[in-house]
Amino acid sequence: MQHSEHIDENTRELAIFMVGDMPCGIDTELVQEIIKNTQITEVHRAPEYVKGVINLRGEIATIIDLRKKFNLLTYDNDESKNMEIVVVRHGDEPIGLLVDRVSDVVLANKDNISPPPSNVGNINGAFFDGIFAMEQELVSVLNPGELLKDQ
Amino acid sequence: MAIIEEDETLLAFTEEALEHLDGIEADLLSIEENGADIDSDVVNKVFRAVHSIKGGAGFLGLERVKDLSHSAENILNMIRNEELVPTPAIVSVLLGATDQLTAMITDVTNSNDVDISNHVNNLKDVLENSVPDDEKEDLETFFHIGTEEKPELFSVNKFEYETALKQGKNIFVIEYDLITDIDAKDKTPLEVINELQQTGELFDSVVDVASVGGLDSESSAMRLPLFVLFGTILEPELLISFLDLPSGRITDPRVTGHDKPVSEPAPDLLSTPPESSVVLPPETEIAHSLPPAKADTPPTPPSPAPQVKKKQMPPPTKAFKAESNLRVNVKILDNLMTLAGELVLTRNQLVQAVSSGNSQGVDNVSQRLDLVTSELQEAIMSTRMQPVGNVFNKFKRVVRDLTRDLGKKIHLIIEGEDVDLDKTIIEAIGDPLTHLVRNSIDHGVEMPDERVAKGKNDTGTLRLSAFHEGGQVIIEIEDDGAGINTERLKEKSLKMGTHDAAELEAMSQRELAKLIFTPGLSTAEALSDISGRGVGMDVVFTNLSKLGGVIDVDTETDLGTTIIIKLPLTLAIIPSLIIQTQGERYAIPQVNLVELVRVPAGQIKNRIEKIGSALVMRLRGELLPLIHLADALGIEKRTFTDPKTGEVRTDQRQSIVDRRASSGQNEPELQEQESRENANQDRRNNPYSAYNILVLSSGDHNYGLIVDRLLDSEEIVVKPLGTHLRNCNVYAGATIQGDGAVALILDVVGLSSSMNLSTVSDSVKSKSSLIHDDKQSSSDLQSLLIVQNGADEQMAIPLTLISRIERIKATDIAITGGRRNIHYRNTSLPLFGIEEVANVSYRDESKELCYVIVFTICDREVGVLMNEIIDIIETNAVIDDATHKQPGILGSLILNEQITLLVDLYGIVATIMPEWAITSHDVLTGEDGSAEQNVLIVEDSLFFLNQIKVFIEEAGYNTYTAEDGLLALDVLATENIDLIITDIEMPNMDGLELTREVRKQEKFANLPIIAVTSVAGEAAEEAGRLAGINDYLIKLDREKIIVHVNNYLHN
Repeated sequence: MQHSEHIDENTRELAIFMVGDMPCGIDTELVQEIIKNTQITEVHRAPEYVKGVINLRGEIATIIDLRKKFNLLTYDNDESKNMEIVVVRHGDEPIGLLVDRVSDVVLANKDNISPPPSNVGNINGAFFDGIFAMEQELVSVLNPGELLKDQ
Repeated sequence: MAIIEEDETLLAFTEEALEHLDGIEADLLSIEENGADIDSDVVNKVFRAVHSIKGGAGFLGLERVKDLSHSAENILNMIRNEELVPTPAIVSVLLGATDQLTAMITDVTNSNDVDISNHVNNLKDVLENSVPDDEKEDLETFFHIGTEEKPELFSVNKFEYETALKQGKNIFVIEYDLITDIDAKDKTPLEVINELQQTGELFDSVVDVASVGGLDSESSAMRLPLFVLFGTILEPELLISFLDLPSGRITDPRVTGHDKPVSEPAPDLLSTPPESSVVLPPETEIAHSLPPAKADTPPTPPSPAPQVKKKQMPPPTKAFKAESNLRVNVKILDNLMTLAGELVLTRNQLVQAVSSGNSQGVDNVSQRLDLVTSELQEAIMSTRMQPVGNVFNKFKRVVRDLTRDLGKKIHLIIEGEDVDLDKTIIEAIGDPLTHLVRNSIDHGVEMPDERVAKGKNDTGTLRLSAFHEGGQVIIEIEDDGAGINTERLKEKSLKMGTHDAAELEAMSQRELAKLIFTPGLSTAEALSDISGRGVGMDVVFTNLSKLGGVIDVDTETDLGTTIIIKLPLTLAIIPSLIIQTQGERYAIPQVNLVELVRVPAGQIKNRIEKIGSALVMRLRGELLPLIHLADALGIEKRTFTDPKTGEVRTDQRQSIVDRRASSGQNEPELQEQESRENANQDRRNNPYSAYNILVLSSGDHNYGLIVDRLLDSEEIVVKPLGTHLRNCNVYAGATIQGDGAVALILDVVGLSSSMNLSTVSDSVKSKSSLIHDDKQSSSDLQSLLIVQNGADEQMAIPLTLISRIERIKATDIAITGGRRNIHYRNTSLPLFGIEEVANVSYRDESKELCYVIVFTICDREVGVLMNEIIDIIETNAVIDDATHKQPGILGSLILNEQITLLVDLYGIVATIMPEWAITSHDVLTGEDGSAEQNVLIVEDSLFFLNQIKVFIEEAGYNTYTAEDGLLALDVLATENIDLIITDIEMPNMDGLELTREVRKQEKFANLPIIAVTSVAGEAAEEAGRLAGINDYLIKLDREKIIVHVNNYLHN
């Protein structure tokens, strides 16, 4: 979780990924790893936004389905097979964010990140840290602390 | 006030301090117990512990900790010098202070904000009350002591100062340089302080940070002085060499004349002690203030060194948790290292074997790997093991405080403190045990006068013991108090409606005592602060159940109560059963598993039924609530394996008991039930359609869980689930399977409560009690094995006669000399068929597998063939010994609304092989005179009475009969009886009562009495033996009965 050399105080390094058709970003220093093609064990009776659990080298990681969390369209099973998991640490436990695909890592100038509105689409604004204006599109930067709080 | 936030030193200090404090409580209690008769070893130990806490705290700037430990130390010092007798009141003050110290050190970063004035004042009062009047003002007088340059370095209470001088101590100010004297010598400041404390008394210590800034002093470019005010009996020269310091560092404050007494009391001890003006800036700032020095003397690491390294670390936000560290025996660590080495070697061998394609080698390595892994697992587990004494010893204090509050006298005995348990279990049993101990003290042990009135010693005994038994740890809490009032429990339970009168009547004393675990039930007449609010015992029960523990109560009025807790050794790795439902794998802890039942599809209709909306199964006459795992987990998409093609298809039927649908609307449910049965028709006869039912115990009740497949029994490693899944109480955790996939561990208690099974099981209970009711009309219960031989003909065999049951292949049956037999364990087991002697339908011999009921006759094992085993039933159904009686059949009875033939195993053999069965008869008739002997048979069931009468007469004795104990006594009075065979359960007077009556008469003191019963148990046998019964035999075991009768009457 060290800042790389070329990041000065005024930039943030963001991993950009799609949740449905919504571009989202997260600070790379919060990301532990990105995994694909892993077997997710479904957990019945779990909150709806929990997709299941995975074996992360001997630790049990909870997988949060961001589409569900954001009340976006659901997907069919074939689609979910190609989805990727962004693993972040929340306190002591690893949590996987299920996203459609990770597209890029960009350096974002803090001047280009504005505070989030109270609602982003129909999603609770507290889940976001800010809105980053990337070339053509607006990227919602996640606030994992709020997003991963259990309800 | 600031704290030197030096993580490593602080952590070492808190760890050590907590360790000291941990032992103090027990020691203080023993000091109290000894009273004036002081055990100086113990007092010294406590004194040193508090002393070293004071020293460390002073160095680290933990002012409040220092002040409190200082005050406590003064008292301890007086006790040590025998100037003060440790009364209970004084010990209470000390205990309070050490409790406070523990709390402060546990949350050390906030310790300086804690209000300790109450404790300090209490301690001060004790001190003031015990010093002679003329020295009292010394307590309020403070000296400033210091060095030439810093005359007001320390402030010392005159009383302490004088006391030290009186003891012949020299007082010095020692100046250490944290950098050159400590850091450069590879010591830690705490080590130095401990070293000093071994040679004398450390009054105070101050780190003079102010001088760090003053770099102008030319003598040392970089100094961080630590001043210590020290009292010792050593001479300065000796001290110098002992402490390994350059001369000139030790100054004598008296000689330099800076100990000027101050007349007014020093500033309030609690708020701002003088040395607190010496402030260490917080960590980050110190780092800023250091760079110039750093630049000047780069090779000397600034001390405290770790601060600079740690600068990038986030500051510790949470309080230190001592439990997060664990002390491990070095031997275990060495062992672990060796095993790790082994593991590396094994890996190398494996790599080699695989790359050379040597399959034999791979085999060898995998065996070795298995061995090393198990050993490694064991060694690592042992690091988690902690003695149960860690919990037990806390109760010394609980007992002391409670007995004082309640005015009772209790002697606490602790046994088996060194029995090891997993750390997690040790931590989790503390609260339940405390509750149980409090209960024993509050409700169990009586007040002293009450005890004396009962003829007991006025001091009660409470025994806490732990021991190993059968891979489990047993903890017992035993008191010799009043016992649990089961009558009152009955009343309460009746009032609360948890049980009805008939149920309560049928309960044993032990079962009644277990009612205390019913939620909301308490026998306490008045509520007390300590216990008896009707909450708690059920919580204790649930908490222990969660740990996989079992709890039992044994109580006797006025003799006391014993609570027995059985706990698993560890929770981290548990044996479990892996099952599958809807293609998903789950693990179920074996501790919760009672038995596995497979209901073939054809029997589902007979054995599984509905009560209200709940599904239940008949199991040995009891009704067991059932849930389908898929329902419990809310899996909506059902699939089944097609019997013909083996492919997996979507199931058309709805869930078996769909609770969501059943709320308030009954009709759709009926349809659903029907549609289920229709769906069942197709697959009814396929093995895939059989129900696999796990009978699980969830503490207070059992239930059945229907799963699709049973896979394997495995030892699994339990992993916790994340915070988002915390509210899913149907899971106890997760585990990783051999293939890397995650399997969830089911929580047996959670599953049952999520399906509201406790209420279901209550209704089931009331229904089962109806079944019980007809049993109770005659309490003679028979355990019968229900079997099927020919088509649709049900038969029963008394279970107690059977030695075992074997399943064999029909092709293994050999016919030798016209008789069927099977080779078995190097001998030949003769086989008989019931159809050979009785007029019953023939056994279907086309079946591939059949069962052999093995039993013993004349020391010879024989088997009777049967086609199907159906169930085991406990019944008291009336046996009709007329209608169906014939060779090989004793009679008939109605079971599950079906006529069932009672098989006469002996009769079968006796008819086919008469010479095997009548040996005993021959022997007897060979000896004359036996017909002169009279046997009295007491039995209320005419069927058994006739059975026994016939074979006793066959054996050549005269018989008299009586239908209950009272009638038997009449016969005994008039006839000359040589031996009694009696049933136990009988109306008017039972067998035990009869025996007691008989034994009362002197002439019958040696009359042999044999009890015959249908269900034998050790407890029952013990009770029988106490009453004076000579032998305890099984009713239909005629062989044994005759042998025993012969023994008594011929020897």
